[in-house]
Amino acid sequence: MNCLEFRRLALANPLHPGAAALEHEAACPDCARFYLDLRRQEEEMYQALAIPVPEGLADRILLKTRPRLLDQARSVRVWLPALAATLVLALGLAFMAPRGMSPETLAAGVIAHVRHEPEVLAAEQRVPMAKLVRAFERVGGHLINEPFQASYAGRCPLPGGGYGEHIVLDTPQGKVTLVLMPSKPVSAALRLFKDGLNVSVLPAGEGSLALVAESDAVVRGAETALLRAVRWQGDRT
Amino acid sequence: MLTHHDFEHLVRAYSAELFRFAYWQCRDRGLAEDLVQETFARAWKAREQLHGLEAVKPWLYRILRNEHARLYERRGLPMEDCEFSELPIADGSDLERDYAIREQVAMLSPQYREPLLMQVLGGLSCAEIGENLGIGEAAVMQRLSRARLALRRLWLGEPASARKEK
Repeated sequence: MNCLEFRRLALANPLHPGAAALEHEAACPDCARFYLDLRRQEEEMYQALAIPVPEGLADRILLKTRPRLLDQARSVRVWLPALAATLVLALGLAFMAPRGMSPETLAAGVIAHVRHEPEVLAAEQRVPMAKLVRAFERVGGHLINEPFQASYAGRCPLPGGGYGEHIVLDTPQGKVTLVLMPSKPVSAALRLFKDGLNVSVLPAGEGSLALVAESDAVVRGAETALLRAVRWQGDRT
Repeated sequence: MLTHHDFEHLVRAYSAELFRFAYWQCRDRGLAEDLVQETFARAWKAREQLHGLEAVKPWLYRILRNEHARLYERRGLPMEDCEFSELPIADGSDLERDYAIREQVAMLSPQYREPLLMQVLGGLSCAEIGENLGIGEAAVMQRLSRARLALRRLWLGEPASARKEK
């Protein structure tokens, strides 16, 4: 593949240009720079276009669709149980459906989690690449190359419930905590400074990820490296 | 066939991205929500036409595009009538940058903008986009390449002839 072909494929599908294109990119510094720039622009474009979604949209759609579901039930002469089931389901949706956590709450929860585990940041393990690959795979990410040497990787509880992957990356500028949160989707990227820590929460696949460090520059550097190193299933991070 | 449980899962999984796609088609949040509502209502009614859940996402996009086209037929909506400064902004974003990007994306002609939105917001493959638009995969790739090339020129500040892709 030559540079022209690579750029044509990359422009057509920056997140999935194909194995041959990625091989070319790995061997061609000019195309690698072009591709990094293109993916950064792609991410910026997504962020600009991913406007906030009205709260409770899915619940409203389901509630409005209930009468149509009910019609189906009537047609098979089970209208009464169906009505009861529909009402129960509607009430359940209205009162029991889990509300998505706001990115701010999620970011604050991640900061609290990092603050409570100082020993993890101090760990000096040399985490093998295979372990990192598996950690990303568990949350729907495909690690193409190792962004930085990891000094810790393990499962951790997430704010609001569920489990994620807690990884500490040793960047040239300092350590950064990466928390992969498969069950915590966010509608947009968020940056927050709290309790002396900078956190960046980004959409990642069907969930999100958080990068935490004292220095904002470290967080931004890690963001750029991850953008390049990871492909997410069914999404565009 | 699609069960109630499947349907609820689909609504929760895809309503947000469909809303965004609808919004960038009509530039009206209320109308975008109506479009998504109607899309799912029609999807439920037409659930027998769905062959396998793996095809559901492009199917929903197709229904939404048809609904949007129907809306234009009914109401004759004006196109691109909004002020970009009035658009909702995602939390934590760079306002100036977002404004510029939105303006630039809007400058693309619909034949380039629509596949770009399907890929960027919906993550649809070139084949799925082609099926939706009724064109071949190679044509989709060409449109996407040209769209991004035009945007890159704008981003890099070149006085591009491709400001409005023909």
